[in-house]
Amino acid sequence: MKDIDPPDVEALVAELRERIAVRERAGDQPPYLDADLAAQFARVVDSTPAFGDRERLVALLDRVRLAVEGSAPDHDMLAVLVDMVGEMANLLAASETRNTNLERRMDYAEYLIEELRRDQGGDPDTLSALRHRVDRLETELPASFAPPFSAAAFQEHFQDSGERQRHWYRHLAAQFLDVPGPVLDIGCGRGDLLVELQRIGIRATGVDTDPSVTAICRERGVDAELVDGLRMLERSGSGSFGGIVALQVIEHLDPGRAARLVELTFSKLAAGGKLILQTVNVESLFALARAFVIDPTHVQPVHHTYLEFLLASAGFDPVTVEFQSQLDDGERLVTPGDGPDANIDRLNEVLFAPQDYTVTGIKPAESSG
Amino acid sequence: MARAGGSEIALHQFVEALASRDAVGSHVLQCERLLRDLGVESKIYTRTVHPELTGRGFNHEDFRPGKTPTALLYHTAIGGPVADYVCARPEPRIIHHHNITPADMFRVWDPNLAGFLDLGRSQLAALTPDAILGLGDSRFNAGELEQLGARRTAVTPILLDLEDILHEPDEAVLDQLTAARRGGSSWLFVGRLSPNKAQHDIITAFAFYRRTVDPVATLRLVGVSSSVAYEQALVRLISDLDLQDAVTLAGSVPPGTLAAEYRAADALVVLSDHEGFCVPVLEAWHHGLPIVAYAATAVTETVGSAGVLLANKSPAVVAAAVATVLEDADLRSRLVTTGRLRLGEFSLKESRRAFTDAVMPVLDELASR
Repeated sequence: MKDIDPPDVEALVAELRERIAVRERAGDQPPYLDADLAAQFARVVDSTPAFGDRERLVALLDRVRLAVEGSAPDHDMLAVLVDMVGEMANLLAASETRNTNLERRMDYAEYLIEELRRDQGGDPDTLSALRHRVDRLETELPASFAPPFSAAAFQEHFQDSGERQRHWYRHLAAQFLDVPGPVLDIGCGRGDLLVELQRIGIRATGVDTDPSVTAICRERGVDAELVDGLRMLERSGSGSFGGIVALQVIEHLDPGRAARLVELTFSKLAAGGKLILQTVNVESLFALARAFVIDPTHVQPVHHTYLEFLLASAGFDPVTVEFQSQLDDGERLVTPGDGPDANIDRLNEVLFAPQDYTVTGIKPAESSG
Repeated sequence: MARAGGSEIALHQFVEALASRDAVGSHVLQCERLLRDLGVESKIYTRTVHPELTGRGFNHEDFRPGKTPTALLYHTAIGGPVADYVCARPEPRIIHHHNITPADMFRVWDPNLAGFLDLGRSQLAALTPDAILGLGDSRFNAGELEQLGARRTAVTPILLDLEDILHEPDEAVLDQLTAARRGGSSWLFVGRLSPNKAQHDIITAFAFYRRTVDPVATLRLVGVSSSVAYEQALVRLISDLDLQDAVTLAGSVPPGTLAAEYRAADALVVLSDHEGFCVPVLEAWHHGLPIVAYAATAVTETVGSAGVLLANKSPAVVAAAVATVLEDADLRSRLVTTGRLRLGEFSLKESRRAFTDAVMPVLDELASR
């Protein structure tokens, strides 16, 4: 192939600079345009608030986790690292703006992780204890928004624990009677469902990220672990569970983590296993205006058609949707006069549709994923 | 090439994720086809499979070697558990290095991703010295493997079926884009909004061009965002430079629209700090679009003499180069002709031949042991 002669860019730049100089002298253009424009993006970056400290610490913890779950590394160095992350979490919780002390520690921790990857050899018992500490640390990292109350206090105040609610948990527990393995309850809260599952003889474990509620579960004699649900799934083997349930959890996750949750549940369920997810029904304006916004830790509502699509895309088949928590007639608009009123009925549908829905997916028997 | 002595051999591929509409994902699928055409037993093992490719990849932990002599082919792109898995396997391994974006380019924008890129680099360093063969899409990539201690390397361009990526333009979109130019010249860049692709430098150079050469020029940046924080910074930069009416972030577009974007533009401007190959260069050649590019990483050798390569990317230099390409009809026409010729060098037939020539002798040696 014949090469082409490259244009003389230097000469062109000189010509362009001359053109600019003429315009600068004429007052048509500010001086030092080239340098000024080249520095513009740096100004944008510098004036951006210190995003990323928390994300960087989470990433760091992810890498520590990979180290503890990888082939046995030096556990003394790992213990130092885990301590450092704990210390950094405290620093992060105490600072509202960019914290150079924290940044230096993170730089050092990243260096140590690299060292760790090179230096193999450690004993499994110590590693297992460290793994447990990493799980705990994750739940102790300050959240983007850290509420000044415990999950137990919040649920005590806002959640219905009456007969209707108990009936719902009994109904739900019965859905897992025929599943091919133990049940995992992600975001198990005070363990209401775990108690019902235990009552009918189904082996079940709960996970939650709030120690106030896992403590209550233990007091009630049901098995609950203080660990993030996604983490629990990631470290479980393929096909470990016969059923997975997450009630009012997915609205606490950003879209990426929500999709990851569905993807992981599919791989961790045994063939024939069942996934049930419950969340706020977006099509009920009453529920959006109340249940969704009352909890400040909600990230975003999830429409039932999207969640249905997400499960089907992950491979669940069949996928079904059911609506729950119909409002009492007392909450609904009343028809004036005796006869039916189509407008009132329609308004009732839009405003007061059932407040929650569940999406249920079955992992097909022939699936290997 | 025929299998030597009719002996049997298996080369199974491992990749962190099997993605759809992605250069590495398409390459892995093409590799599988080629290996099977060559009589080599081959399957794809990965951690995640895009739903569109269900059934094409298997979980890496389910890999079980048969009695046939077996080697593993690992594709690099980002860090993850598959690399550790391959590293711990006893089978001989080949590394195909598609390159890993330097983590520092993402550190400020997406620390989580940066952590996985760091991990990828450190895994690559562990995988390479023992590999029986290192493949690079470009001389640049193969050179990195040599620096890490690879004993035997070859350059085998990405296996890309041009039929799959080169589409005819959507005429209605083309009309709209042409009308939107309002008589000014039009710059184009195609690729994920990503710090290593340096869209901020394109915007800055474009601002210079608007102020010195063509006050009604427009710039279109086509590609999905890979970092929300970086995208937000670009939006701020566009606003700070008062370019809201001139710069469009077009997002991800379907094939017919993408073809129309190439046809409606006057130049493809590539100022990336890091690319492992740069597929849009091939698309630009196909659509007869001249290229102005910053000579860095693999861009230099992909573009070759079929584009204007710049040794620095200060706004004045880039603006001068684009102005020349647009004003000098003879240069433009030579660039377009050379580009069409060079496109032929990346045909699937040529790339398959390069892969076969590099890989089969190594497999034959293994089979005859």
